[in-house]
Amino acid sequence: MHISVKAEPLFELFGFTVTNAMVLGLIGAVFVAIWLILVAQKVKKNSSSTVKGFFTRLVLWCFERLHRTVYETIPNKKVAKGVAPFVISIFFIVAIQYYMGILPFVGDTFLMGEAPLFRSQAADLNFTLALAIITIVMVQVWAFKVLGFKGNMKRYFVNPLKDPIGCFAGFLELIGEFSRMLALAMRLFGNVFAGEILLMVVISLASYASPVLLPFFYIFELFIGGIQAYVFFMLATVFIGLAVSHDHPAKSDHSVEVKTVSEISST
Amino acid sequence: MEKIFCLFASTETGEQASEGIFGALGIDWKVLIFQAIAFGILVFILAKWVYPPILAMLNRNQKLIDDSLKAAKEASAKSEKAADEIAGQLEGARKEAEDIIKSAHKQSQQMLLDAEGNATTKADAIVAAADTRIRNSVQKAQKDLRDEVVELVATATEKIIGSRITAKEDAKLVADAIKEINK
Repeated sequence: MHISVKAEPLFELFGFTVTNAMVLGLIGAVFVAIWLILVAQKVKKNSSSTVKGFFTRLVLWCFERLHRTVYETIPNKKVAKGVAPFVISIFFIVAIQYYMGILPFVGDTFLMGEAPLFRSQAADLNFTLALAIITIVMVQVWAFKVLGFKGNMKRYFVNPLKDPIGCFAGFLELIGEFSRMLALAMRLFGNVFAGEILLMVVISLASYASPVLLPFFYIFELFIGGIQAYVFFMLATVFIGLAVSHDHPAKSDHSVEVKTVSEISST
Repeated sequence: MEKIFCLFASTETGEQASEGIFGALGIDWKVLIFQAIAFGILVFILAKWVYPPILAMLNRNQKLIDDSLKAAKEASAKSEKAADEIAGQLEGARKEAEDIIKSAHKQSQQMLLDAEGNATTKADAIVAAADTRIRNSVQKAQKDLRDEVVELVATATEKIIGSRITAKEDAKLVADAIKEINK
């Protein structure tokens, strides 16, 4: 059993170290892109209201629910419209990368030297940290866009002589941004990595009984993968929603206002 | 189990510990930037070619649902209106039927009354006619009887007296007798 916290380098390409997580990550990214483009093409060709195929409908169902959640979470419709593609992509990419990690050929099955050829990209802290950094950067970008430079800065920097409590809260908010970023990255990494280790431990402990036991753990992992992807999506949406509604405390009460897709898109 | 713990323990080598926290966790800034760029490209692809058609379809479906709901509401309103109209028409028909029945009843009663009246009138007329006829018959019989009595009286008187009196005296005697009878 081979366990490594970090992704292992496989080879060098133009002076750039390619890791096993990057290999599977690339496959996963290509898969996500091709699959979703195929779904979109199928939807485009279909003039009727229903589309055949379980996975196509699953994608459509997920998209609809996530899209609605974004508009319900972010009160500002313009921001929600801009944010939706980004956060929905997070969900699909994280979910697929998570599920790629539990495929049977991932791990010790194929080796390149001593390192496994494939490793889940979500089990590479570089990927989760990159996602978290991009999310926090997006939070700031939208906050600057909506609140303006001064408005956004007021969230963190308050005159201590005028409002000492506000000044302290702003300082905490600044620290909070970094802690959110780290929490986002570590939560996903920890779950995926722990999931992979769990499967390896089950295989090792169950030995010949593993074919009977593993399906239950795979189902569990599928469930956790969906949950983690949704959690990342939801947190990214909530962080952006909170940042852009900072100067409107009344609007940031997280009250859920159910809207139809046509209402949402008409705004 | 012991083997597993040994394996876990073997992952943390002294070499990794010396790399610092980033090195130990495998964080490489170049890989990080690569991942971020790859993610950005993927988001761009999805936002450009995947989401618009899906969103268009969802909007289309939503519009269809809205239209269907609207049509269902309209149909429901129409059916309610039709039901009201039917109820109104039924009410009108019932009223009309009641009026017709009432008027027929009234008419039949009137007819009965008229028939009764006619019958009574006719019966009265018949009775009156019969009465008149009886009275005439009685009068005629009285007259005949009187004439016969006069005749008899004259005959009897002639036989008693034995001589015939003149017609003028005879008539006077009869008239007096009749007067006496009538008294």
